[in-house]
Amino acid sequence: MDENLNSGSIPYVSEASVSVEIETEDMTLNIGPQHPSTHGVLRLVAKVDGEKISSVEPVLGYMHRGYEKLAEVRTYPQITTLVNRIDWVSGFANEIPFIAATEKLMEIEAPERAKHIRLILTEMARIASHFVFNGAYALEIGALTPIFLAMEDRERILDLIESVTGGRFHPNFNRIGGIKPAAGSGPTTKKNIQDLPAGFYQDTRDAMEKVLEAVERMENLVGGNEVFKIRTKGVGIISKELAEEYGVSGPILRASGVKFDLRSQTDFLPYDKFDYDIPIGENGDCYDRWYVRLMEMKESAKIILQAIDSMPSGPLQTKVPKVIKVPKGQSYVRTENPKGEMGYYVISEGGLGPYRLKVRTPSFSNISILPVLLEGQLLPDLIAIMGSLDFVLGDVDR
Amino acid sequence: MGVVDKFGLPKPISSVLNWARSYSLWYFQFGLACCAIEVMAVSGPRHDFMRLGIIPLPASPRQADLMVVAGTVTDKMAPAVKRLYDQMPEPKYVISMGSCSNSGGPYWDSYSVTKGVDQLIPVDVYVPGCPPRPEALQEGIILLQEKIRGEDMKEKWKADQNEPV
Amino acid sequence: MNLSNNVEFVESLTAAFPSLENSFDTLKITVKSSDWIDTVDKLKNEFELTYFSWLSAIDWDNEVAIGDPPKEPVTPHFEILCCLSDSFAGNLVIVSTQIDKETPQIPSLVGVFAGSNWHEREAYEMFGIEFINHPNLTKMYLPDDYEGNPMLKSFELISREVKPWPGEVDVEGMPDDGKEEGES
Repeated sequence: MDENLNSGSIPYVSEASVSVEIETEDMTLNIGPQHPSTHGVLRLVAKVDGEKISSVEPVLGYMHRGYEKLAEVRTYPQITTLVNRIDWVSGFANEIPFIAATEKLMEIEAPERAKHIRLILTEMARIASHFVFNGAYALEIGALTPIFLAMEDRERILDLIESVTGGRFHPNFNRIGGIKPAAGSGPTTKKNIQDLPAGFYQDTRDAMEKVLEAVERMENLVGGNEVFKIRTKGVGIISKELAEEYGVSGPILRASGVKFDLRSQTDFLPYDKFDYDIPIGENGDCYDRWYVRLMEMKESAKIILQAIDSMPSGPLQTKVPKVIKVPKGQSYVRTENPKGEMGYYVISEGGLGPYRLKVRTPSFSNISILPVLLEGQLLPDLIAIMGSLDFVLGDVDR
Repeated sequence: MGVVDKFGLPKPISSVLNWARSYSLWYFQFGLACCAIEVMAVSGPRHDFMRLGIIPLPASPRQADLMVVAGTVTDKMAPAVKRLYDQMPEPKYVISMGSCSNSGGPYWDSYSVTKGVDQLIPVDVYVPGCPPRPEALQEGIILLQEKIRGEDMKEKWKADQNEPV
Repeated sequence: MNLSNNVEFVESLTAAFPSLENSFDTLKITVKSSDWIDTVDKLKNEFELTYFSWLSAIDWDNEVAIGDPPKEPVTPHFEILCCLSDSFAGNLVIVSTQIDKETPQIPSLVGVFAGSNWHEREAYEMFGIEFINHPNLTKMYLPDDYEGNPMLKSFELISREVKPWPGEVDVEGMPDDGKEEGES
């Protein structure tokens, strides 16, 4: 990894880095579990030789809440409440694969309108999540301003999510067979139910304009900053093969040049109706990962604008039994979460709750690459690399 | 401090001091789970808790007056929470934010979650919600400030509690 | 994933693995535990499933401490699952194998996919399954002095013993539809 730092193609890295080798004793450095830049309670035990990291051992479990066990003792509708909280910066996107897997087992399908609303809210969750990343990453690199800009931009998105679902970021809005109907309208009412608040379309259009503006501003403000470029370009390179072997997914995989986005594979959300690009990076370094996420926000805004223009009318909920029992069967459904591949393997034995629920979370696999990635890097780059992986501890530990 | 311990403070002085303390709470950046994102929102430009005198600067407990336990405390994290609390100098305050740190919340039957942070450290204000809205945390802060303004300094600053660990 | 787009892949896979079954758009291959590594290796090298998604286990048992048991009798065993995918067409296969509960041992996949390291550690902690030749088979999530494997069906949640689940009211029918209530 050392060659990357001094490779000639990157003009920003000074040639003066560590040219004299002095034999020193390895020092063990403990980072966390309480550290402002570990995004929560991750603990790293690093062995450092001067400024150079010789090995890193992440210690997990400080946020382990036992989702998989709890899911076995909850009923299906109760599990939606739990899964919201796995990746807490994009709660809505977590519900989708679980609901889709359950619907698949029950062999029901949500109505078109519900699917569109689900898609819009998922993309909004993605934008909100990437705003948090953008602000927090710049903060970790040493720029204070972007976090304040990003938080304000994120609030606009949260306002929209709240106006539809009633919750800021744990909406619990999906129901098996559709979405939550508005208060007062029964699930079987077909016409003119107030599912979306008045003025939602116009508010969304305005907000998406603001998102596009914000992306451009962020690109100039952060991406145009020399310090930011020096600290991220050529740092923490993940090759395509390494990424696949460790199950790294999402923007990190795409930054390594793999054009793989599960949105194009989903059959339960109408992504195929819309026109969008999948941004990919070239080098797989921290800068690329940041840039891919920034561009994704643009694409998400585009998808939302198209979805609003082509919103079908119709019911929000198909008919489901009052007591939800899922027939015997097994199904794995995965979606493109803002962090990567999020999937649920539901094993049903015909009861009120699943016999076993395997939760595949993106951040867990994404940070399992850390020991390999950080070996031989410089200590100041540790924060830059860790931040660029954009993990959430609830998503890692479950 | 010794004078305060022995004789207490005259009311005018203590109320002025309490008033000053209540508006310069240094908040220790300590996020655990979902609620930490909501704390970020409160420190953001829209809600802006600096206008209430909360200063979100110290990343070290040694300089902090206020700890907001924002999120789920797990059994593995519990010793660290206790230790961080012990490291804070007196007088110190704790806000327990969200259902998880109040009582375990949605994980009330989990095998790895501590059912309430008040089993570990004394809590001054509980903010309910999962997660609480930013406005709720702001109200929690205002309630804490009211509590501080009504405090008897002689009681609070007992000599045996003054030493941080 | 919609399987109608991947007909060729499914056909070639069926030819190589007759045990392939399709359950709700999820392809699953069941193999013997002695073929575990070979199967995964073959899928990686011959079927271009180079992306390691996850590895986990299921505890099959009729005697459960908590939750609903399977309706039909099963022989108690662990089912180990490994999910592989490619990174261009979205093909996805789950490989499954069974091991005994008395000697829960299976060769580790770390040699084939280095990324299985953490997943195997998780399964070791949660189920007590031993992965042979794993470089660092230690606890992952729980404190060091923690005893028990929480994901086993025989593991009890003590909090529930102390206080019954308040959400039970949710699954009962509403007062006006007594007929549906009788079923559950």
